[in-house]
Amino acid sequence: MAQAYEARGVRFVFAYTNEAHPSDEWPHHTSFAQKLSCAQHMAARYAIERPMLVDDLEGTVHRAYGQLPNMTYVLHRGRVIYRSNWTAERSLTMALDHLLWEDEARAEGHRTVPYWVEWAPGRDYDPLGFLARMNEEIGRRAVEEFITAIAASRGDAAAAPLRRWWREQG
Amino acid sequence: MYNRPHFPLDIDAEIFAAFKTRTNAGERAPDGTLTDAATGHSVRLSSLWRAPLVVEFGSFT
Repeated sequence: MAQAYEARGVRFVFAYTNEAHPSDEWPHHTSFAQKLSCAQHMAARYAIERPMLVDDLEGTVHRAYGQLPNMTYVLHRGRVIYRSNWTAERSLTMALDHLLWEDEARAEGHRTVPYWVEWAPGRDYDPLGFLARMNEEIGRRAVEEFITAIAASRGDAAAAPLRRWWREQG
Repeated sequence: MYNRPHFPLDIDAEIFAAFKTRTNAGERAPDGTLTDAATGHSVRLSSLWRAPLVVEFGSFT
């Protein structure tokens, strides 16, 4: 996606923040050098070609933008054009297509004025796939803490299928 | 608390709720300085947003 839109003049960066699900293998950051090393590992592990920009240890930029673990913003000329509390390719694509259409329309002499939209679409959700990846790449403690948090915040019924799956993993 | 050693029991419900009330679309974007992991150089967000800029926030875990 980034390559397709970069060819149309859009820049993409990844802002590396704090570890959302710290584990024994991937603990929370205790120094900027450690944080930088984790970011470099992530860029290599997932072959991320976008510039990987690392926030400071206090999360100054991350907190200024809302501190959520997986959010996306589109910024243009110093203003927020789009923001999503969860990164989702479908809505981001729509936002970028609209933004590029605006630029083209203005270049052709059309006038545009800002308007404001709210939207709450659905996104893909696969909690067992999420936990399987977490178990494989992050560690057991992260899985167990996530299931415990689901039970504490959403109730035992919500956590039951996750617990059943976790028992099956041994 | 930022940069916790454990995942929070409330799944950061307060932070998710607060997101709706801050830095809305149309408002001025916060500026700040980050470090390029490849070069070690400092980068100001405002130096990048002359063109449309997509900023994805995240971490390994």
